[in-house]
Amino acid sequence: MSAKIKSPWILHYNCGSCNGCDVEILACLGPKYDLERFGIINKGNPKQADIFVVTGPVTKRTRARLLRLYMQIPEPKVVVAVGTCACTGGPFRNMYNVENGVDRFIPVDVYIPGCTARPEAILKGIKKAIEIWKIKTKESIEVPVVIQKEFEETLSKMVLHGQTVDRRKIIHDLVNKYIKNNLEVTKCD
Amino acid sequence: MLKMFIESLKNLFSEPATLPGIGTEAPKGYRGLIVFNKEKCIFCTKCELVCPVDAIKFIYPEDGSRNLEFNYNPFLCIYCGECVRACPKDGALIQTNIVPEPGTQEDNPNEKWFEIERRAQESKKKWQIALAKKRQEALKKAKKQPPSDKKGSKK
Amino acid sequence: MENKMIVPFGSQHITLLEPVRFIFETENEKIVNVDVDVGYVHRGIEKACQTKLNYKQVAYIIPRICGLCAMSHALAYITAVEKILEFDPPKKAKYLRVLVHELDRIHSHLFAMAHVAEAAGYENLVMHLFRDRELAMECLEILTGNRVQYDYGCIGGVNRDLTPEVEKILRKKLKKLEDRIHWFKDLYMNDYTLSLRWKGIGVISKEMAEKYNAAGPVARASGVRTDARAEFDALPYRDLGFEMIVYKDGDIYSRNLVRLDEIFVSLRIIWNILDGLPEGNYKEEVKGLPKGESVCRWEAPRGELFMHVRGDGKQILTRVRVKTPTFSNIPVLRELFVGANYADVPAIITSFDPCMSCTAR
Repeated sequence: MSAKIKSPWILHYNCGSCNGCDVEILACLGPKYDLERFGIINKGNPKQADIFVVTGPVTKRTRARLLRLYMQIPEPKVVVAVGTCACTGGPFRNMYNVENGVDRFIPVDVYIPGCTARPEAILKGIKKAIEIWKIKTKESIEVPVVIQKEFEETLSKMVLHGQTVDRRKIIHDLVNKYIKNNLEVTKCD
Repeated sequence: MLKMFIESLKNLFSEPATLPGIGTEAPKGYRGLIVFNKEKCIFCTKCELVCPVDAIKFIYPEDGSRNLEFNYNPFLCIYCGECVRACPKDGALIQTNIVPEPGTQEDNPNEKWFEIERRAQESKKKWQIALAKKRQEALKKAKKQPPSDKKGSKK
Repeated sequence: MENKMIVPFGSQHITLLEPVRFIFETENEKIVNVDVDVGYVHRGIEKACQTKLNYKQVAYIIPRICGLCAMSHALAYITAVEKILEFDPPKKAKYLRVLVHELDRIHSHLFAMAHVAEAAGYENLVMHLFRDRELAMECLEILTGNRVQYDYGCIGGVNRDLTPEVEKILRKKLKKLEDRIHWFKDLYMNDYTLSLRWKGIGVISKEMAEKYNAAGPVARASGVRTDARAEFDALPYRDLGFEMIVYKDGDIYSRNLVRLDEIFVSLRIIWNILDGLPEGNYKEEVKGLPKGESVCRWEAPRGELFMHVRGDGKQILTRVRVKTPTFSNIPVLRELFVGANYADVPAIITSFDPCMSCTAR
């Protein structure tokens, strides 16, 4: 863990935003507000990422991809929600194709407000996220909000029967079942 | 190719373009956080009607009086400044140039706001019923008084 | 058995900022068929404008359709509503609206050129472009209050005035920017490796652009003379020295040069405004409710924008309809892919400068 602390890598996904906050995130990786001096690179690969940066109010087409990307990032990980759209739905709150905010699906650690969020605020937020990340270990597994109830039921049943408990496998199976049954996934997703 | 090489060599020996630390403060005219002064407010609720995203909600008291409770969500506001322009009193709502701070899981901006919206809606209905009752009682009192006044003035 | 391979360009990709999905069918690295899926960003804005928001609040929600063309959407809507109310804004307000609009165009074109250079693999040039784009963003922050999403236009004029201290700072920064753009133009025209990657790739001929109705710098780089700024008179572009830029070749190299020359034209317009700003109010009050129908054509940084507004005499409008420029460019993009090499796909997509959040509102 001490070798990874000096270089956390980023994965960025846009869940239906207006691109304003994404432009500010790219400006943070530019020369004036330099995130690369903290060791941060934007690679598009979830298996190599530590920080998951999300923008946009979640539309109904992007829900499945958001959950799958979250499950593929290895522990320990933090989630940062940038902009008012990702925190509470923003100006698109209660429109017909919008779920209000990212934290109705995955657990969020840092919320950054602003329309659009100023690069100084993004730098402060990522610094806070790195401090939260240093404390977590490999065993700190968090459960996505949508399967919380079923996870607790399955866990109590397995403990009662005395079987060995593998939390990661239970969460993966439950999320796949949820996506297949509840989210309407078309041929292309 | 040679041009870019010469430019990179020049940049190696000049001052860096990166801002030190976490950056600078916001300039004076930046549209930042909204601040509310309770002493100057007259509770006309114009700011709640004008806001495009409903980031200001008033909770009404139970007795029909005009002493409302102000609620503002900095994680839902879009910092456009319409409420400041619509306020009739000078100084009740001010837009400062403070950049809003990031929050963590303890702030809980989404679930708490759904709760506040529900409470505001219910309290408004009860307040309107209480206000209508008050007005009816005041009308009844006004109807009873003139006959007793006339007798007093004649005597 | 044919050797076809299906390659997805999924909704999360590092080349583009937005979610869009292409499914390519290739045979030995040449593309045979494309399946396009836009619509990941649909939020339902037009329905909310008809049921929940009154006509003054719509002016703050409509620019949040897209963050890079924010000023264009807002000004098109405000001009359409002012036509219904038969109100002519004061002259100073018109000049200030053009000033902020041209600054918006400059920073959007620099951003697009940085993306094309990143797809070609030249990261040093990307960092240089981002450093000089910050000069335009600082100007905008001092003038309007925010770097992206300036809520600057309102029905009746603009929200803030241009004071003399702000004007001094603007002149200093814009002079520095102009010298740097001359250096960039020299580099883009004469570099040897960049010309090998961009000349002759992604060619759109003039007949193809006219048949599929392309818009914006994509059409102007193929020889089609179309620009909404030369044809409408809601803003005083003809008095301020506007000139249309047309190139003939139609490949990625010409599209870059069209964008660079448009930055020069915008800078010239801004110098003319700062030298000759008229006196007067910057905001007036408008009375009455909108009753009637009107239409407005506008020139966003990516092409032609079209707005239709209809009201019935009440606070809430009955219909707001937006046609965005990237929506017209998608059929041309699809025709261009068939027959191209698979390795050229990121360069072609970024040279089109797509804005998917405009396409699916």
